This record gives sequence, C-alpha cells and structure tokens, in this order.
Amino acid sequence: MTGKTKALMVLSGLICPASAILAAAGAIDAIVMVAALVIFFPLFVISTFLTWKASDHEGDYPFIGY
Amino acid sequence: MISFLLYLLLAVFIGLLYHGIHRKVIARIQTRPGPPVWQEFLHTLKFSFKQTWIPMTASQLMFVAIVVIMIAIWVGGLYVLLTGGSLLILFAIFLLHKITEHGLGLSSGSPYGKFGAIRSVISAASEIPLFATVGAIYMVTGSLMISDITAYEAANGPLLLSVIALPMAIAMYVIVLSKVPYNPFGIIEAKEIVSGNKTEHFGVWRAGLETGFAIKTFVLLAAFVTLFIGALPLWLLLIAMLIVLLTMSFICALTPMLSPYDAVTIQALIIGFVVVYVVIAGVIL
Amino acid sequence: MYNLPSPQIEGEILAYIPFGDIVYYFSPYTLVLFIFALTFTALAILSRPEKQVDIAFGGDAYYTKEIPEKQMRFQRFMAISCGLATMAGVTTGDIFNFTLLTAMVGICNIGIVASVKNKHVLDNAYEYGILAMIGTLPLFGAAAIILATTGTLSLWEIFTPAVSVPVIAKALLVIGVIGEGMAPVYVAKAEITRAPGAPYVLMIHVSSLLMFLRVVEIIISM
Repeated sequence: MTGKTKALMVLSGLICPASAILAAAGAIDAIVMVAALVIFFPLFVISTFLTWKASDHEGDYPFIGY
Repeated sequence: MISFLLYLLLAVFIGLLYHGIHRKVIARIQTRPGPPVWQEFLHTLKFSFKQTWIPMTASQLMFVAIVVIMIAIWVGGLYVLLTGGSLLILFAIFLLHKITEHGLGLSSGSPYGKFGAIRSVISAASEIPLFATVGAIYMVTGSLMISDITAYEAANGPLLLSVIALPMAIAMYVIVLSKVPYNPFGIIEAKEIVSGNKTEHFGVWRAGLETGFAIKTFVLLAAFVTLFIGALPLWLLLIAMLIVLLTMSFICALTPMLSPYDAVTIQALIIGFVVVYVVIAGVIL
Repeated sequence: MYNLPSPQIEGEILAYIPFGDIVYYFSPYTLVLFIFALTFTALAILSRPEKQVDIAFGGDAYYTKEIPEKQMRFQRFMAISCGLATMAGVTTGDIFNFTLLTAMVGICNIGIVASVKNKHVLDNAYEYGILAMIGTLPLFGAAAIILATTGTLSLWEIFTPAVSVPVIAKALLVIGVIGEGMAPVYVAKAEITRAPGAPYVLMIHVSSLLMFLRVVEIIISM
C-alpha cells in the first residue's frame, strides 16, 4: 500500500509542475495542462496524505489523560 | 500557465485561511475566544496524519473516488474562473459539487451520511434554480463568458451598482452563503445528523475534503467578486473576498441553522423574487 | 461548417460527431458534462455496492443490508444504460433526440429504484413512474411545438438569432425535464433511503441533474 501511494505521490507530484512548465513553454495546449492538473492534483493531495498518515500496523496513540 | 499552478496552491492556502478567519469572526461575534485563524490548516494536517481505512459497509471504490472528484471539479472551476470561461461551466461545476455531496453521503453506508445525502438533494431543489437565475445576467451583459462580463464592467461600472443586476447579485450571494461553513442553509452537515454527509469520511479522506472545500470557497468568493464588482488585481481581489466573507460571518454567527424545508422555502422565495424582478425588468426595458 | 451560433454562452465548439442529420457536439460546457457522466458511469461499473447500515429502533442493534447478486446485476445494468443515455443527451445537437434521451433517463431511473424488493421502495417506484410518464407529455409537446413553429429540430438552426422559439415551448421543455428527472427524485427520495444507494441510486441524481444543466443551456441559447 505505502509503496504504491509513494510512487503515485512522486509521479503526480512530477506531472503537475511538469505540465505547467510544458504549457508555459508552449509544448502542450493549455487544455492538456488543465486535464493533467484536474486528474493529478487531487491524486497528489490524497497520495501525499496517505503516504505520511499513521501506520496501520500499530495501535493509535492511546489516550493518556490530561 | 505556471501562474495557474501557483494560483491553485494559493487557493488552497487562502481558502483554509479564510475558513479559519470565518470561524474566528463567528466566535468573536458570539463573545467566545475562538480558535486561532490557522486552525483549519492544523485541522487538515491533523486529519491527514490519522490512521485511515475504508469502512466495511462502504461502496469501496466510490468512497475514495468521490473525494478525488470533489477536489478535481474545483481545480477545473478555478481554471474556468481565471481564464474567463463561461459562467454556465461554473454553474455546472457548482451542480457537480451537489452531486459529489450526494455521493459522499451515499457511498459510506452510514444512515447519517445517507440523511446528509438526502438533504443535499432537497437543498439542490432550491440552490440549483437559484444559481440558474444568475444566468439572467445575460440580459444585462449579452454574454455569459466571464471575460465578457468583466469587460462590460470595466466599461459600465460594477454590476453590483446596476439596478437590473442587483437581484442576480443577491441570488449569487445566497449561493455563496449556503456553501460557507456554519451557514443557516447548511442542512446537509447539520449537527443533528452528526456531520451529515461528511460523517464517515475520516482521516486522510477528510483532509482531502477540506482541501477541496478550501478551493471551493476561494472559487465561489472570487466568482462573486469578479462577476459583480469586476476584474481586480490579486491583492484587491483577496481583500474584496475577505470583506464579502466577513459579511457572511456575521450572518452565520447571528442566525440559527434553518430546518431543511425552511432553508428550501427561503431560497425558493429568493428565486421567485429574482424571477419576478427579471420578468418585470424585461417587460419595462 | 459546424460553428456554434452562440459561442458567447458556452464557448467555441471543440469537436463534433455527425450521425446523419443528428450532430453530436462538444463545446467546453457539454464536454464537462460528458466527462462527468462518463466518470460516474465508470464508477457504477467498477465499484461494489455499499452495505447499508440500518439501526433497529428501540435497541442498540444494527444490521447491514446485503444486496443479492441478481438485483445488483440489474441495477448496474440500469445505471450503465442511464449513464449512456446521459452521455448522449448532454452532447446531442437535436431537440427531439434530447427529449427522447431524457425520457430514457427517466425510464432507467425507474428501473434502478424498482429493482429493490421492498414494499415501500416499490411503492415509490410506482409514484416515480407515474410522474416520469406524465413528464413525457410536456417534454415531447415542447419538441412538437418547436418543430411546428420553427420547422426544424436541429439545435444548430434553433440557436441562430433568426429563429425564435415560443416561450411556451421553452417552458414546457423545462417542465418536461424537471418532471422526467428531478421531480420524481423529490417525491420518492425519503423512501429511497431504504434502498441501498451508492453507486446506483447516485446515478439517478447524476443523470437528472446533468440533463437539467443541458436544458438550461438549450433554453438560454434558444
């Protein structure tokens, strides 16, 4: 799970700025850039969160009282 | 083009910050100390660090996909707004937001989520025609492209001051109001049904939702300012958005949450007012 | 040849698919609607249905509803045909084709609800069906009036400023779409909570609202 989400995070994290730079350079159309961002920005957000979330293997922090 | 990516990050940042300011202002009006203004960042980060899984009862793929779609549609909405695309597309994106709200509640299998989803449909009955009345702006500007509308405003002054466009501004204001947190029309996440359609989306999913909602708040506030005041430089846009948000904070702080059918009735009355006004204005002019 | 008469409303045309005299087209607006319908149809195909949790009143007990294989297959079939009708409906360039596909959306929606074997849900499917069938009257009536007054069914012709469509036809068209897709949702919605929802019941909402979005565009452009 974590390996896959990490790979997805890196991939989408690269695609988002890459599409913006390519569109700025004129290599791809603006509409392609938007399509890339619409698809990969949410995936980047979710996969980033999934990568750094607490491990599923151990218990959550126990409540130790105030 | 790189500016769009920066705008996107700015939208997340400003959206979360404005949510925090909104909470703070509501608290101060109600003479509570309130959370710090960056509370919503902490909130989102806190959720993102939590243990996360998909509930057994949920519709497995849908449960996750709906969060992704929620962020995706508002990324598209931001682009439409920034490039001065069609107001109709913005309307479509608002409506798609209603559908994702519905899906958010339905996908979890929880009765609370389900009731939130049902209420989302009930409120769609009035919110969607309400947004449709904003389309009557076409009568004034002769175009629904946001770039044409801002060009019209640059030539003829803000639409907010125009007598004909005023009801559309009110309709749009109510639309934005019914999408900020703690608003009187927010029946879908009322506390009597726990958190409504967001109930079962915990941890990472909730953090993703907060991100999407931040972009949504940014887009809707910016759309209101752009449509009815005009195209402003960024710093002025942010100030205008904040002022609009502050007026909404006052409304949210001072009004109780309406019951589902009252919320629909009040919005329907506003629709009726706008339609009558548009018909009369159309006959006279 | 295929340029939209009113690009200031929904943007310039991006692509078109001519099928004889019915020309499907993608403007930025219809493309957004099409992609959304496509996404949710894909979700209906791929996701497993939810197991709805029901609370037994008067105690702490709760149970989950399992969906029988046979019912799931039928609901999925109906949801997919509903998605296909929606995808065609939001991109079509012919008013009669649009009304036909809206009627099909209504029928598929009834199918999705009616496949649940529960007295209350079936009761509602029945009411739903009556309303949707009544809705076809203004729907096709509007198309007939448009044909009678303008002599054409093609949106490309109807959208030109030279062709004026009577207000009654516009009003009937909106009422028809609302009757077909939206009104039944509100009549039956409370009882649909008994029917396990995602992703199939969601398709009702998706299709009817996308059709409503399309009709708004058609009305403003006419």
